[in-house]
Amino acid sequence: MLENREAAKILENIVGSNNFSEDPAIISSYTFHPGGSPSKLEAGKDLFYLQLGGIIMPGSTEEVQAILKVCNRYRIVYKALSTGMFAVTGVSLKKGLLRIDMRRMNKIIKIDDKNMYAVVEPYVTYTRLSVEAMKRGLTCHIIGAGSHTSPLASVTSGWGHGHSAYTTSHSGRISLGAEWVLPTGEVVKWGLVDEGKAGYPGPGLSGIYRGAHGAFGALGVFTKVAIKLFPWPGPARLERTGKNPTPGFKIPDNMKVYLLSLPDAEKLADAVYKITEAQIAYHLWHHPLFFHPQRWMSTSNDDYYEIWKKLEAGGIIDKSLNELTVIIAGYSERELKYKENVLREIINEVDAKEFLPGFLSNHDMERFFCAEVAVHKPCNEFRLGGGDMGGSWGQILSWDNQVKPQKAVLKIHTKYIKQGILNDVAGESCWGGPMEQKALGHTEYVQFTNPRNLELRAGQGKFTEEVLEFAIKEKLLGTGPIAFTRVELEAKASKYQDDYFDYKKKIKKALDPNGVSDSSTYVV
Amino acid sequence: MEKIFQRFKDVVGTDNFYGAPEILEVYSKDHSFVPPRKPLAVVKPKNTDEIKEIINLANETHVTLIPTSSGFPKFHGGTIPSLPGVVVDLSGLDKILRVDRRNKVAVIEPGVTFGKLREAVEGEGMVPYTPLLPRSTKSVVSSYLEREPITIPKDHWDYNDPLAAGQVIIGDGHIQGFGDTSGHSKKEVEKGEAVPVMPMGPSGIGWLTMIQGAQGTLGIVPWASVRCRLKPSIQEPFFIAVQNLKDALPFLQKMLRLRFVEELFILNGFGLANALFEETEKIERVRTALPPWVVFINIAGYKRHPKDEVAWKEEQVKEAAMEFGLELRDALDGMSAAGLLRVMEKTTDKDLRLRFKDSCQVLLFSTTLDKTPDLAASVVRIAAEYRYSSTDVIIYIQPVIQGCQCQCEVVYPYNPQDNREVEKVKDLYRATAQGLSTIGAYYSRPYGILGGTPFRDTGEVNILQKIKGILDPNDIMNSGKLY
Amino acid sequence: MLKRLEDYEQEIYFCGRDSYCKWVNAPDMKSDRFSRICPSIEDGNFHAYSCSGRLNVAWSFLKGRIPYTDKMLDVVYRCTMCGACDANCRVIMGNMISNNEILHALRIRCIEDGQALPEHMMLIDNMKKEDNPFGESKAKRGDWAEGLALKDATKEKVDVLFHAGCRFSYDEDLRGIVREYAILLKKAGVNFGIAGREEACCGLRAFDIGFTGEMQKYAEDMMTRVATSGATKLVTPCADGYSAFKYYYPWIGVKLNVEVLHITEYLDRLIGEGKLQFEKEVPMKVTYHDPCHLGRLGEVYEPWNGKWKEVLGHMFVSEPQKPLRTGEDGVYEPPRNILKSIPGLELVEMERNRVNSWCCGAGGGALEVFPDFAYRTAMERIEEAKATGAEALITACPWCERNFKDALRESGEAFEVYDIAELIRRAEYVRK
Repeated sequence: MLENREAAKILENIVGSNNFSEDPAIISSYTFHPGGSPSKLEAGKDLFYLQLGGIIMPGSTEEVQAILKVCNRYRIVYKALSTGMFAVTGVSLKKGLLRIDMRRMNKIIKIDDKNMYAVVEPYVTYTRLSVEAMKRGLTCHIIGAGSHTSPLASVTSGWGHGHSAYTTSHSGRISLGAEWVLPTGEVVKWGLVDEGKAGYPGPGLSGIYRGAHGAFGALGVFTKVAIKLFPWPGPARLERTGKNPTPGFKIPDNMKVYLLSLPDAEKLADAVYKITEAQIAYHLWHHPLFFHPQRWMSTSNDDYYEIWKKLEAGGIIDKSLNELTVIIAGYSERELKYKENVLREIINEVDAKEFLPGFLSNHDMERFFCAEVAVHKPCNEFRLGGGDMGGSWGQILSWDNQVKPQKAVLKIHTKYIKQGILNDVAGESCWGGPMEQKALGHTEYVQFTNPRNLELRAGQGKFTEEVLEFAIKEKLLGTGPIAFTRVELEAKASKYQDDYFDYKKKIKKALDPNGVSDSSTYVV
Repeated sequence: MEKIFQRFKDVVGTDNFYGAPEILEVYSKDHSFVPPRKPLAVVKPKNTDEIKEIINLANETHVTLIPTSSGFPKFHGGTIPSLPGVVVDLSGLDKILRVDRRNKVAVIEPGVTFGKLREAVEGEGMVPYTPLLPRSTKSVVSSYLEREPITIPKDHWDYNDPLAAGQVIIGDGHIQGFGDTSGHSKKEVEKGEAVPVMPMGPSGIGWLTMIQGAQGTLGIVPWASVRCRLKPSIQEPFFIAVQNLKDALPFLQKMLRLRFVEELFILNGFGLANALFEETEKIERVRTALPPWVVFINIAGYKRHPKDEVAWKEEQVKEAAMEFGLELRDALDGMSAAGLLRVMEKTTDKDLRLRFKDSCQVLLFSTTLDKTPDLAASVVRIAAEYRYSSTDVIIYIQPVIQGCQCQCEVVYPYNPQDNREVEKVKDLYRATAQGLSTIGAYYSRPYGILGGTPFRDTGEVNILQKIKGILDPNDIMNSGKLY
Repeated sequence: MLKRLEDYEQEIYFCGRDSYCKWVNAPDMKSDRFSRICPSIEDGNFHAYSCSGRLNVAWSFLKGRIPYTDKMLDVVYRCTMCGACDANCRVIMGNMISNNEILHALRIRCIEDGQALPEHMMLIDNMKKEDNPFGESKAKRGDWAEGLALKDATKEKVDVLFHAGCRFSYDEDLRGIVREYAILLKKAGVNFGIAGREEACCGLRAFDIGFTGEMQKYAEDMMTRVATSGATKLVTPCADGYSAFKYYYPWIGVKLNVEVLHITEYLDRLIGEGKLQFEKEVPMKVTYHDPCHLGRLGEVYEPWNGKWKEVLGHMFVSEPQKPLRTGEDGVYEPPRNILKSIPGLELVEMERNRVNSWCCGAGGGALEVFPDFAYRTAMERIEEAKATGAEALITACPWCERNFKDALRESGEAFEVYDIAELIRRAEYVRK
């Protein structure tokens, strides 16, 4: 329950009693948040660290403004939430926090297929946007967290890497506008959320709230975003094959999928550079070995384990297959043929072989295509962590610069696997890919454990700290590390990156003088 | 003041401090209608340390600094002091620090021009991304920071492009790296120990996004990494002539979707004439032969089977042209597309905007491609209302952000000796700016009057004032410029 | 034996909040308009109204963090128990979360703790008194078959025991449908019988709201009735009954030892064997609504009482292997086959079809307590049916049909709703 009863009454009046609740049952459904926990919670503490005062669901920008003004007046700390998939979206240390659930703001306001952009509200999910965009020969960037997450949340406030980055970029670089309710309740709009505002203002407003990642709810609430859409070479609707729980899509005739294995990380990097220079790929991504069984080959952990054992028996586990997924597409036969021929040349040049020969059938490739390319993008690696991906570490760098950390982090990762803290990852944990048809991109070292076990969670925290030390020592912090909710680690990294953290604090103070926009995952 | 000047001299050296009236006169004005004002002095730092010291000095003494990197002529008023201040001329920092062929970036100082950059990267089989016909004195870094559009929309993913990473010394004197070289020194980048390729960040701050379009009001960039592209082996440029701009849109939209076309832009006939020729007489001669609108499109083949590459691209372009009833032409009335391409590959000593008359006023705005026909028609209509010959207007439409938006440039050439014409163009400029803003033009590069009401959103201005207060607490960076 | 809520604790916290329980399964989503799959959260909006939210509520409750409140009961019961969340969760989490079972376990706990809602108490009371949820006289249960001269399966041995179900038995509006099915079976020469007034409720509605004893009683009663009849097949036109016999009874450990078929499955079989043929054209464009209990919840239940074991570090695998039920093996094609074999009939599909079907709003005890919720849910489906351009919405479940018809009447909108039997009648089948 909110401490200030007068404020509670006013808030309820703003949205109506159906859209405001202090009931324990309602609150409890927001209280547990998978995956993330502010690092102050060490082993032995409570998984139910979110101590919320109430839940409110605004239905319009005006209601959001009114809510924020009340919060400022009565000093109520709030945090907005869209689909709420991931750790940082939920995490907060503030007792009595007001959770602003953006579910009622869930419209696709516009898809402009001539100018290739869409304007969406917070609760719109990637899948909904994607199926509508595809009808118009377009697609949208879908982040790794999966298709039922929010583009607005990622673009304005989250990270933003996704498998299709080679063609669909990154959430930090696809925004064409936003409607931003500042922490104090004023509204600022820029770009194509308004019809007549095609362009970045000068200077660029979005640089205040977003760099390589956003502010995770610490700088107010975003109520609209305009995002780029990208050409989709496939059909208006992909043809479904197979059955749940591993559905497939028929691979369109004008697209071809290659799963390759490279002799080593250096050759993998070479392949990335060559393919990029040749400008032939629609999709280019690297998965660690275990991602394939978990994401689309298996239906459950049970048969994932059976596949693992088969791979183990075949001597494949712990071999670092240096996988590379290449998808090419053509709008004409001639184009497709050209790209196929060039890819074959490159495959020979880098000694690439077929990935897991003998393991994959045609239908498997359809299942892979469904999980990888568009619309679906299931984040079912969550199964491996008991419903959660415990943690991750990553950064954006040129692809050559990804080679050293891949090897080094694997050593650290292996140590924690042997200690029984982290799950086995079959010899490689680096997941990631180049973006924007360039040989630079995001890599992430995904780790799994049982995050509900707070001791293991603490151990996973130590892994993250050790990787940070390595990145600091080797000066491989890149665009700033992904360290999930460990904002104190980010503060530490900042000392080696011109102390940018100081400016985050200043921006926070300037825009949120009353300190009511929760910043548990933004600044220390 | 003399004491302060001496301190500036102590930083940059006496030879790099300029106080002579005739020199100050040069920096006091440009072709825009921004009221001229002489700076107090001009300094030319030679390295990052000197820039930092200058900024620290300015903070201490509350002297305004006006950074500039490009040489003259200039058109927007961004480097004319709004308040008394010292111009920081970075044109002397013109080193190419590193060329990285593998990652296709070059690390350069702000004084590097397009010509110099091209020379440096061509040896590695690369070419820079350029705006349309950059002048020889134009700074690459400045051009990109001011978001001057490049001519290849497919490679323009975001407004940060083609900047890749770099460093900014912000108004409070602190150095901040932007992008993935945050925390790395210029030396490390020079040696290749850090490879600057990604402009986002670091972390939750988008430095580059913030300082772009800021007209130097937030900081100074002492070096930056810029993207380059491979030099094509084969190029096949074409013109498409249309009577009505609307007729070209479906074709353009398709080309932008296909994402393999290189240079792609639209010029009105008069604009093309100015692009092709530097001499007024030649422009006069050809202008009537040119169609009202011309699309320029270029396709290229690179390293691997370039002929095959061009073949599939050309096939699709031709099919699209046929689909929309358009004709691809190698030349228009003897003026070849290849000729324009050749001209575009060099820098020019005679800026496109000054080829017809000795001065001009430039209106820049962004919009979406579908709005351009109405906007262009309004430009013509308003020109007629102000009795300015609409056939003397240059209109350049450049798709950007891979076709999601366009940046448009309207140029009104005029004779600066003719006071009546000057006044007419002033009124025309203001009326056009106002008129276009109501039908879809957005002034994302808010030079001069465009930085004030009614063109600036109050909410935007409020928040920018806060940010300015953080990054430039003593308001020494190009004060009075943005709002 | 039924597991208790505590037994599901480990599965409860497997939920990763990926939102698959709220939306049509991604590869099957065809538009933004018809992208939702969970009527409950569409109505309640707070996350608590999704399956994921209820898992959190359940866990908080188990940890003693929340008390019973009116709102909590609203969360627990404002749900039609349609099984969509269960089916969709498979795609992400595999067999890790027994969504449907946990939702039931939560309700069972509520009832054990004396938290029954008054409207549900009335329903249970009716069942206790008259063996049907409406409180209608048990003596009149067999009246629907008047004049049809059907065999009495309590007295004669039959090959097929025909279970009419409560809705068909007592809803006079729908009586024609069940009579049609009986006439059809007669015409097809099937040796079948009914239990008439001795027939009782399947008990599913009671189980759905948390009363396990009632369904246990009815299940055992049905077991006896089947044995007495000597039937090798149990055929019912009621989707709820079908699901009870096939899925829920095995869950509570009751084996009927008979082949369970929905009437559409049986008719499809007869048509396939050439025993029925349609003579007349029915020139109509129709769309078919997949009842939840025939589709997603129409699969055979396979019990699992294993444990979760950690392997490869801390990855959970089931031991023994837990079955993975996706809802894909429900009854989807037989009704469609029947419709497709009616001459002149054009069948168009709604976007949310088969395992992705949007619930009619009638099930789970929600209709009895939240008629407004049931109405909105039904109207959403009717909108979807209209969007196909169809002239009528066809279904194979009396509860669906009743709720659709009631919603249309309340809304004043015009749209036809039929059971498959009504189209069959128009097609004038003959026995070959």
